[in-house]
Amino acid sequence: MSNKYFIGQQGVGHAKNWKIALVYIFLVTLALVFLFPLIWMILTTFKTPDQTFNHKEIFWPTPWTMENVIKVFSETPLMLFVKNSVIVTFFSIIGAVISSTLAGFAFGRLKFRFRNLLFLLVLLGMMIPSQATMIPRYLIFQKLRMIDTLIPLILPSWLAASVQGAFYIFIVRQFVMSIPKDIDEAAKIDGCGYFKIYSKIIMPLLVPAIGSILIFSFLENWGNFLDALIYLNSESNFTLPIGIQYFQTQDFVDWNKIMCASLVSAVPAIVLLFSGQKYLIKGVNLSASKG
Amino acid sequence: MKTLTEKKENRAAYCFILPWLVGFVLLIAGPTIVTVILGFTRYDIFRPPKWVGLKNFIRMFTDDEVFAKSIYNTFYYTLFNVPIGVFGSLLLAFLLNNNLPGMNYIKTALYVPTIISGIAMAMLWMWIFDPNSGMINTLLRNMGCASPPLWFKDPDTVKLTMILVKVVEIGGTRMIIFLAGLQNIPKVYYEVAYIDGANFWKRFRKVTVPLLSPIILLNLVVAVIDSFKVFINAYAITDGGPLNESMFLVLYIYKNAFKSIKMGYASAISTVFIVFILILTVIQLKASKEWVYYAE
Repeated sequence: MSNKYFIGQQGVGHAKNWKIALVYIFLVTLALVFLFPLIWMILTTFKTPDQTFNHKEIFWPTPWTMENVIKVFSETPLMLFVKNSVIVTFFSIIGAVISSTLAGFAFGRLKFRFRNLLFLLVLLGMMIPSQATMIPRYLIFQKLRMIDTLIPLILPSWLAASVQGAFYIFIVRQFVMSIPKDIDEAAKIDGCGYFKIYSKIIMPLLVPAIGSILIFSFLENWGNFLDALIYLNSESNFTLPIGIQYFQTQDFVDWNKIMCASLVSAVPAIVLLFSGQKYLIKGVNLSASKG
Repeated sequence: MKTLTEKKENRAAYCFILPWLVGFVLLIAGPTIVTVILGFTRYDIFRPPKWVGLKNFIRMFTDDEVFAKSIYNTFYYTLFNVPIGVFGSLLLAFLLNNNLPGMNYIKTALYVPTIISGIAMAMLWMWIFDPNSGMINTLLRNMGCASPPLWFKDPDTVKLTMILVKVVEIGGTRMIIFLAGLQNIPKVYYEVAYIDGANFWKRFRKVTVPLLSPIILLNLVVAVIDSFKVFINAYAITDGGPLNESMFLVLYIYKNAFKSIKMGYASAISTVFIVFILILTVIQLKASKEWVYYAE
């Protein structure tokens, strides 16, 4: 028996039913394993500490309790951490989208001196992780009196100065190269300036690429741990990633609270993933086939 | 002679790349150079850096066992993490690249561990793999295993456990990039191969791999760098232990710089770190001429 489905390759062949079943079994099992961390976070959040401690017997919360959620929000500065993370992530994403589309447009479309050399430097930027240069970076922000503020976590995105930033420029460049040139040639004849071509013509076509940059940049900044660790000192400035660890530094590890805080940090990411999943693949067109 | 339009285009382009250029100079190229220079100094932040020549590097390679261990650990980790990560992602992308119903849900589910912040995952792994109260060992004991592994707490298994928990990232961004690449391969190649009688495996080897090879290379290069950056799990779960068996380069840099405030020594380690990454990247790019296929 076989039917119209194919596996792994496009438009050819008819996979046998048992092969299809095998692929399903493998992928669904794997998906369940991969979902387990999230499921465990949810279950623990709604258990009493007693149930958590006895999880040898109890897998399912009986009964479900809101105790932890209420406690975490009322007794700890979690809301403050959320607020700081929202600020960092929101402004970083805007910066990442602006800086990467500006540069990506120029590298993909315009002719200018040293273009190839400069693009090589963009790629070089993908190879020097900020972890390797954390000391001078720290010294710069110290000189600028920005230690223990959120600025060192936001500013690099506006300047595309990270491995990811360089990657976003690369994504946009490849995407721009796949947009037919006639479109902006026509606009040029109509007397449009370069900025207008960028903002009015190219930008709208870049939506899938921007969508995927948005998701990647969200993940990068929402989960940014090392920079928060280096630059933030006072509790009132902590972002969520540092805040999650906050519950570990007390006299004992409070798993209910940690899982609750983790869940709070996971929810926006999951909402974003489900609402933006169609952009994930469409946006990352790296092969730059001419459209 | 340049025409006016060319001049205008040139100027406009530099305006467009200005934010990146400023960032590159101030936050990437500048700090890289400063890192290398600071590597030749003793610097505790409070007093100005003092030039000490090659002393940091000599000490690093002759008189610092922890440094040697962090190099070994980072390479060990990379040696497993990269092949598992890249081939795992490729396999998943290949299996997901079909028209079966429900694939979008599976894709999204596989991406979930990647979107949960690294520190939350670290906390979770720390708990699940806890030798006493962790779920895995509880399960193993219930199944009759009297002395289950100690996972993160045993110097012999800590690195392997770190490699194991990273497997969930094969459903992440790398897989997405592979999927995007697979969807760009024109159907007609497969149809021709199919008519010519190429079987499934042959079509994978002769059509998919060559046409996807530039993207495999990209993912490989990025995966090696990512792997060298390993930090959060070691910082949050083990703090580099036990017996420094999970001390990795970035963690060691961080500890020297911000715990012992030995900025000069930490810069010297950073310099070695950068050199390693560049060498590994160059090797991969050179080797890629043998197997990467660029369509005209």
